[in-house]
Amino acid sequence: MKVGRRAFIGFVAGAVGGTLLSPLPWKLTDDIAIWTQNWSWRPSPKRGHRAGKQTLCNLCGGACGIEVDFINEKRAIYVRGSSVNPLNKGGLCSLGASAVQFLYAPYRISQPLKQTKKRGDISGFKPISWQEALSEISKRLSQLKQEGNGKSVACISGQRNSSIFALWEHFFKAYGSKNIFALPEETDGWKLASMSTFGVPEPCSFDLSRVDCVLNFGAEWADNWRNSAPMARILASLMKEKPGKPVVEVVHISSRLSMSATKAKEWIPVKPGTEAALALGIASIMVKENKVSPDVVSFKGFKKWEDASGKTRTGFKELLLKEYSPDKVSKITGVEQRKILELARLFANTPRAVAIWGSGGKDCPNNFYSDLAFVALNLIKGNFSDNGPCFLQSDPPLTPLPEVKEGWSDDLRRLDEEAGWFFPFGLYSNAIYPFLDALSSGKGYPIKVLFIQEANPLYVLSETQLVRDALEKVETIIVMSSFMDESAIFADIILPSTTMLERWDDVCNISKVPNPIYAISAPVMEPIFDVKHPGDILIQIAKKVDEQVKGVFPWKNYVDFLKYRAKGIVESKRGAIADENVELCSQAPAKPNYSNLKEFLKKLSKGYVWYDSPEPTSSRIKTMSGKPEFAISAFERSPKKPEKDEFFLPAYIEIKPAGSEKEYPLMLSAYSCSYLASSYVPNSYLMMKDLWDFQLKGNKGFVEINPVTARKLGLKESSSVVLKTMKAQAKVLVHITPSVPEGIIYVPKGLGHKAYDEYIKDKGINIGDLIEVQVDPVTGLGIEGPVRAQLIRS
Amino acid sequence: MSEKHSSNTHEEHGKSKVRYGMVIDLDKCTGCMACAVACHQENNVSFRPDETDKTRNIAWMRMYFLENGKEYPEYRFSYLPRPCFHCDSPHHTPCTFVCPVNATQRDERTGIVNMIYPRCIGCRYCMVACPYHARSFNWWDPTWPKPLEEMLNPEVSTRMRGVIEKCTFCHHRLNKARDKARLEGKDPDGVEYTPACVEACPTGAIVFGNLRDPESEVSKLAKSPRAFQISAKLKTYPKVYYLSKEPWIRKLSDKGL
Amino acid sequence: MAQGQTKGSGNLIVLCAFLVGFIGALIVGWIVFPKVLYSKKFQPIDFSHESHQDSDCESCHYFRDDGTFSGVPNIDNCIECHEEMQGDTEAERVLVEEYIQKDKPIPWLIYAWQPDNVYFSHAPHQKLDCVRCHRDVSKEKSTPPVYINRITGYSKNTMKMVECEKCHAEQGASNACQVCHK
Repeated sequence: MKVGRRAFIGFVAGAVGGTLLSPLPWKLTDDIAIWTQNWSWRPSPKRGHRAGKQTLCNLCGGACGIEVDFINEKRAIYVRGSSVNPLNKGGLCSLGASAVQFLYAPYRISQPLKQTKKRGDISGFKPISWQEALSEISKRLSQLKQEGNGKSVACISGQRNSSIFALWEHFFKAYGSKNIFALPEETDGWKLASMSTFGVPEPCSFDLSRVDCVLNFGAEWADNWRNSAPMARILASLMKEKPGKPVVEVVHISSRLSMSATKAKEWIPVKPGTEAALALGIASIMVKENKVSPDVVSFKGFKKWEDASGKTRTGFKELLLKEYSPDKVSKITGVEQRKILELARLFANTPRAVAIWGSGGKDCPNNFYSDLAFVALNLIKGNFSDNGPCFLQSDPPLTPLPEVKEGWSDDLRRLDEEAGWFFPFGLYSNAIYPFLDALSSGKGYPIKVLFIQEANPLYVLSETQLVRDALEKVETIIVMSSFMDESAIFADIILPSTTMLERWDDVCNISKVPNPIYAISAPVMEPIFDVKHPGDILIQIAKKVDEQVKGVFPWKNYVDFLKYRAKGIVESKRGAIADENVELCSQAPAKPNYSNLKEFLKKLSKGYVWYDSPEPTSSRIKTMSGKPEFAISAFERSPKKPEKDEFFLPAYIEIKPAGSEKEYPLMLSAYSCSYLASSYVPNSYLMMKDLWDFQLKGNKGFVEINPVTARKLGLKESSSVVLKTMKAQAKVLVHITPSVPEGIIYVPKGLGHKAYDEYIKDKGINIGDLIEVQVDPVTGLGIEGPVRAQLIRS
Repeated sequence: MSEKHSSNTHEEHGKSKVRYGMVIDLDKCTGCMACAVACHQENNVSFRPDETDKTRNIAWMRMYFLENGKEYPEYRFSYLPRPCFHCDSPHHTPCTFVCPVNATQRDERTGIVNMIYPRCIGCRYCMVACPYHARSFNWWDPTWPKPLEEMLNPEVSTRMRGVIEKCTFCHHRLNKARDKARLEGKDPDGVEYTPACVEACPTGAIVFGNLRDPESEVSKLAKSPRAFQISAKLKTYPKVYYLSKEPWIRKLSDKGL
Repeated sequence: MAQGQTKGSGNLIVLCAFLVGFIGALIVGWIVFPKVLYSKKFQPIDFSHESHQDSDCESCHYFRDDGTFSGVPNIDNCIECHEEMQGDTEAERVLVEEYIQKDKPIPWLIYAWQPDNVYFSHAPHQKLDCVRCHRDVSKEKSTPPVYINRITGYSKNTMKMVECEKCHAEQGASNACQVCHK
């Protein structure tokens, strides 16, 4: 049958009518509308119950209490500060708030890898099993030890303030190598300054809760003066107006207007690197006006003194009056004489005034003599007397490690010593740059195996080229890292490590805090990959090296080791576990409120912190005279004695950067920000989001320059320039800002990675590539002073 | 909807005993940006490889840079963290007034200005209307590189390309706090809760609470002689106040952001 | 078109065609379309509410202290009684062997699945009868299949915004966006 046209129209009309009377069109329209609201490619977070778990954040080496929020106890989604912790009291820094971004980072390493191609070629990594990796390493180690070549093994650790560093040292002692180093810190220098002044390598610390005046010599406490969140909290509490009490006078002394400087009540701009001269100028006025703490007179080196050879040398008092008079200091620092007098009187006349100092936020050691100068200023003020506010930071009473009988032989020398470097403080010095220098230049002996534990020296250390050259010379590089960072890419074997939320760690002491501190960071979840704790790896390897090493490694695993360490505190019956009401200060009462190890560990693994009241400095001093000393006694044992008398005393030493002023008319310096991570852990995704567009634009980094300097060079905001130093050059944009002085240009630390992923890689420049490190001749520590630079318009 | 039962009329504007608001102490702020990281973590704010074009990127808590305009060494600067101000102008806020599809409204019971993302048609009228640039537009589909999707918070829905988003004063936390209060037999109205930024701030510079409760810290601080609002002359009545003792910062407050 | 047909028979054909189209469309719209639109899925375990009559509803569907509602229970609840087999049903065997012993969460299908941007909390709705929104399960021997809308991904029983709003208006509850949206 043929269907007529009219019948067809009838059919269609019926179908339309029927459809309209059915739910189909309406439902379909509605459903499509709903479908557009739930695009399937839009991520839909898996649902469940949200609840927090308490632990501790040690991402920066600090010990802030945190609560990690989980969905159904599996998926970590958020980190908040925990108020039970006396250090952060609920607040966090941007790094800590990013902890889960590191846990789920796409650049995490999920299994052990071995380089099968040329070193540094990321495509050459092939998965190997843990058993293969560990047996290969332990076989090599036991072979080297048998050959009597134990010294050719070295380690760079990024976890100085944790028991894992003690475990490395213990391993190296048993294994027979002295080549153990940590990433440099400001307090490396402070330890040696204390060694010289007080005879103990315990860094200075400050009770800032009970001060009325703070002279701050470049301690960028709002920017990066470890540790970020606790420091910010202390700073805010100092600035708070308390009824009936005068506001704490905070005077900031630095050359660049940092956040810390802009927050201070008063900012005194000085010529870069001359803060120590101003400190000595203030000391000089105090001496002249007889405002010196009376006991200081009897300290060795204050007056004329005799060295070991019987030679009479100039005293500190005489040096101050002669070399650091207001007019001379004014010339050095650029601060008016009137202002220096005013500062000196403020410092001398305020009962509780303290001088704190730092490296301009770079978190690298200062020149030895400057550290001594600031210690001396506090000594003259009487700040190390039993009533504070300065203390030496003593270690918590952890169980000492088992004695190593056949450890280091008498003729065993660290590579830098073997290569001809000499430092009076020897093994107390974390002389990583001399080590790398010896390694790269092939002096001393070769390094066969280098462990890099969560340190990323190829990015974190300055003079990146030197580090790379040094690593090139190593036979086997073993990197323990959670992330595919610059150093992991350069590894021969990668042993992937757990991240903070998946592992046990401890924290021994917090820099600048006077109280001894012990804290534990417990895991809040199972590892999401086939990864191991570096401590567990080390214990496993140690047990396989040989019987002798095995004999001093009685622990089953790293948790077992931590328990062993913490037992010492419990047995000492010292200190207390802080609750939310404790304010850490020198007078915080500390009555033991724990009874056994189990209870102690349980409490600490929930983000609580053990603390003790600090011991008075007088009980810590171990100098020959039994008193603090201005004179540097370490030189008396040294074969290389300085000639001039002033080199035996705290002083201002002008550091002259290399290069000609004509070719490099500008000075370049690095600075840190609290919102940029410049250590082992990189900037998180959300930290990158917050960056100022005058610090990073597209992939271009910036150099900060004073408007006057910019005008002279004919540069405008966002001009493209080539920044050139003796070490390297880089393309950057110009940011004109009056926060930096004329003639000095600044670049922030924490950018310019060459690893990770497209969110971080090749963003801005790594200032470490451009900076030259000067090795301090006394301490052997690397100082990152300003370097000569030029800007070429492009 | 009968007038008796209506729940969100403007007559209610003056009556409600609850107005959530915030005070940010710029003297205490050290610019660590923990507030922004915590906020964006909590609220599933997406990120892209290049976040440096601040006219295109998404930020609920954005930092502004204030300068006193002087030369070295008299130069001073300050950071200013900016959430949504949840303007309290009677009748309407600039953004809710212009929304053609009712995708953004102010809850007159709490004063929180909110969004229904799927309802937004992406006309960006509200973005233009907001004098504080508090609104961001999703120019791209939000994506998280694997396995970062694992960290997404189910209490906040992810957005899609073509919609506006902004700070919500973490209202999902308010909802949870209200539920808890209900279960404990307490009055859910005016319940206290803490947004992510407030929680993260290490210096306690951000204080949050009920501005209409005379006993709350936030209402006391908002009356402090140091307190000011941004562009108060626009009569938008921001519920975010700033504190500063610096005259130059206070002077800038009328210049907008 | 065929010649010689009368006008009347032509109209009849048109009417028939119309009716065929009309009825066919109604059948498609009312019967076929809903069948095609929804996919039919079964729960991983055939749970019988009836055989759990001895316990209170609250032992599995309870409020937590933080104000959230547990919703559909998972193995943490089940394990309290079913660590070992109690009876001999297939459903229990699956529960014990496949989930409890393997410590695997049960992938329950949700009858009232709401999209991501909806915030629903049981706490303010405590006074309502459960059956106001959920099916009556008190006599239920076997879990019914779940019908999932192929376009939207919602289940057939998902409550729509208009229903929420209507009740909120009637009860004088707020209809502000953030009360129900996240």
